[in-house]
Amino acid sequence: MNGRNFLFPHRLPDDSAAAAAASLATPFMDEIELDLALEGLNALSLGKARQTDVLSISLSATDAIGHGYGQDSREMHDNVLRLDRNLGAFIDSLFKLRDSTRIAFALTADHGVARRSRSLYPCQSSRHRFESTSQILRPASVP
Amino acid sequence: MIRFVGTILLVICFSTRADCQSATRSASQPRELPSAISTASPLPPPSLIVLITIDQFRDDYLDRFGPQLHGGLARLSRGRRLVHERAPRPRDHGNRARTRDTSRRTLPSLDRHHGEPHWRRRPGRSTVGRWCRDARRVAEEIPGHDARRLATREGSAVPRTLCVEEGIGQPFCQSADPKRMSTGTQVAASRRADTIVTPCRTGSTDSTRAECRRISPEKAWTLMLAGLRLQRALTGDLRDERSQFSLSPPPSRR
Repeated sequence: MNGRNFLFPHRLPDDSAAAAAASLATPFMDEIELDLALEGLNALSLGKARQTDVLSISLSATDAIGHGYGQDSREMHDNVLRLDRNLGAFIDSLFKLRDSTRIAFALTADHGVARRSRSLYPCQSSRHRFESTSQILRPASVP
Repeated sequence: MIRFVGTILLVICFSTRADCQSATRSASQPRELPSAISTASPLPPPSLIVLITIDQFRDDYLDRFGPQLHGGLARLSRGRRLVHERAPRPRDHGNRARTRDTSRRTLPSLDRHHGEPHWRRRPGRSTVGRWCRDARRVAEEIPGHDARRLATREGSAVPRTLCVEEGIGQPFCQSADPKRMSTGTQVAASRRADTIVTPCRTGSTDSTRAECRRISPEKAWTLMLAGLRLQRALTGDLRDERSQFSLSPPPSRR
């Protein structure tokens, strides 16, 4: 990410604070958030009354991974598969907690992203990217 | 600057009684969400609307990884796809792309999570109303359902809403009785407000900090859960041999 930690697979650091910061760009964060949503559903008894309740969940790990590793990266592939699995567990759990016949799901994205793999250019900024390219293309005799 | 393309995908699934019948199948088989929604008989109003917004989720991921998807994305993607719109280049990170395209009018604006993040909320502005408006728009897309019934909740003009976001990198959970959440400052000021927890960072708006101070003990479950889950993730309980994001082995003890 940002020219660092570009080898796949990735390892979270041993230090807990650093691992917590690094976990934001992992599928673990979405899993935590979906569990949080289920706990909140239970705590507030949403979906039990006759009236309609709303449970709104915004999952952001995809964005973090897309920014960090690229939209077509292996990390994104891994994340989508994990998100699929986590959402499946979430729906199964929700159906055990509430009447599945009275639940409406809406799935959307807040935005997409253009097809340009940042994995080709690990450096995040264009300035660094060009510097890296120039370093590669620069003849060895040029200081 | 990265060129973001406001590719919006909206899929709506509504569980039906057939889905309930399928619950008698083997437990190993997940219950499928119906792909077709019958309009023959009026559906009862949903007791729960689940809005799932995936940040930067490109629409072609569903097709691209489709053969490998067998979980929630696969089940939800078989629902009714309402909008598949490629909006013009947005000005603001793709989520404030308010186009004049008529097809846009059917798109619930479920994107305010990103467009109006928690730490930018100003006192006096309410986002719960937007959530409820979006929920109503979703309900309007369900055939046979009268979305106006959403507004018939006794004593309240909007449904009860629980929003779960990953704020500034930290999962937080917020809930409010819409009757008492007309403004952020009211939420902070009202002891009866059902604000659960907002483990937000410093540097937020005054209202956000106030909400943080209003964490009620009985609602501290979210913080505990988030902490426990994160701790589990960090200590290896979530270790998965198939993981590409593998955790480092714990340091050896001498």
